[in-house]
Amino acid sequence: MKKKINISAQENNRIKAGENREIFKNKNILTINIIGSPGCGKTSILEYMAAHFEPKFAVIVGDVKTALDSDRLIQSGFSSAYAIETGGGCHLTPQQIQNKFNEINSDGLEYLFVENVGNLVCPSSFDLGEDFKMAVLSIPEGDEKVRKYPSLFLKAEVVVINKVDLAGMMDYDIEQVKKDCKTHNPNVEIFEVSAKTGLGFETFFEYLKGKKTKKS
Amino acid sequence: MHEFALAEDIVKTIEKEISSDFSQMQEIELEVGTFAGVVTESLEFGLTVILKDKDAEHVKVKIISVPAQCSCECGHQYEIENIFQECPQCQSLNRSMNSGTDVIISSVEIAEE
Repeated sequence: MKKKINISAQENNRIKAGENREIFKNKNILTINIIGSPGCGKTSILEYMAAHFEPKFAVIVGDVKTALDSDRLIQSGFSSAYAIETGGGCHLTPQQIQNKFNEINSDGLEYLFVENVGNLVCPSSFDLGEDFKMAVLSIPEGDEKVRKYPSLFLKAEVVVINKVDLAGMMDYDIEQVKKDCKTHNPNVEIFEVSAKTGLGFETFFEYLKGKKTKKS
Repeated sequence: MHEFALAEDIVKTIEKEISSDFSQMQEIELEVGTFAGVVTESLEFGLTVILKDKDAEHVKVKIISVPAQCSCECGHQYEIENIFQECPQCQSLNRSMNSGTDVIISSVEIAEE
């Protein structure tokens, strides 16, 4: 006897992510799932934001081992950074986010940034209950990443190209990268920034604030 | 790498959806989109390991590959094998994906009593 099910294989993930989405909605928190390869500057972007982005936000950082990234943020004077050590897991799960979020004092919190495990494949498949996925690219890692890892760029609503201060020094076709991003998602928003010099962050901050206003 | 986590989710979902246990089950049928970012061999391997752990190694796993269907801004619907395949009608790349990005548990085969 064949029993039709026709349900997403990620049903459990979807339920848990839905719970998170409801929690964030009730607390009026805009949540961003940041995905990029190791070394693209996800933590550096957050470090820059810790010093220059005025609204109240918290950061949950996932890494396979160590709390080095959250420690780095805390040492820079930003106290609302929390680590999840996956112990081998290649991505964060909505359950991990919910557990960690329950430990956080979320009073008055406006934004939650989740820095996923450095990986362009697995994190893109797991909804955490975020408002949107933000992919981070960087100039030194080469201009073919979008073509090589389509699953992330099909889903990312925002792409941030970091380390643009190095653009003149490397063979990186930024226009081609932007075109590739649009091919994957015609509605994608692309920002060019440098976490080192602060270039491009003003526009990015305005965008985030606009998204927050729309959600409220 | 994430296929094992996906396999765990699939088994949990099936356990929730069907009232009987795995002893009567014969086959699990999955539809995997060609743009789902899933290595089917790894998914199959993950399922084999989890089913074995549940004393259900007799359960077969059938995976059907689902092509990606797009709706172009011109209204034309077409299938793509790679992301840079333009609309055959208007050559645009401005489209939305209708299928081929998900993993669906389509059905399970259960032995009749």
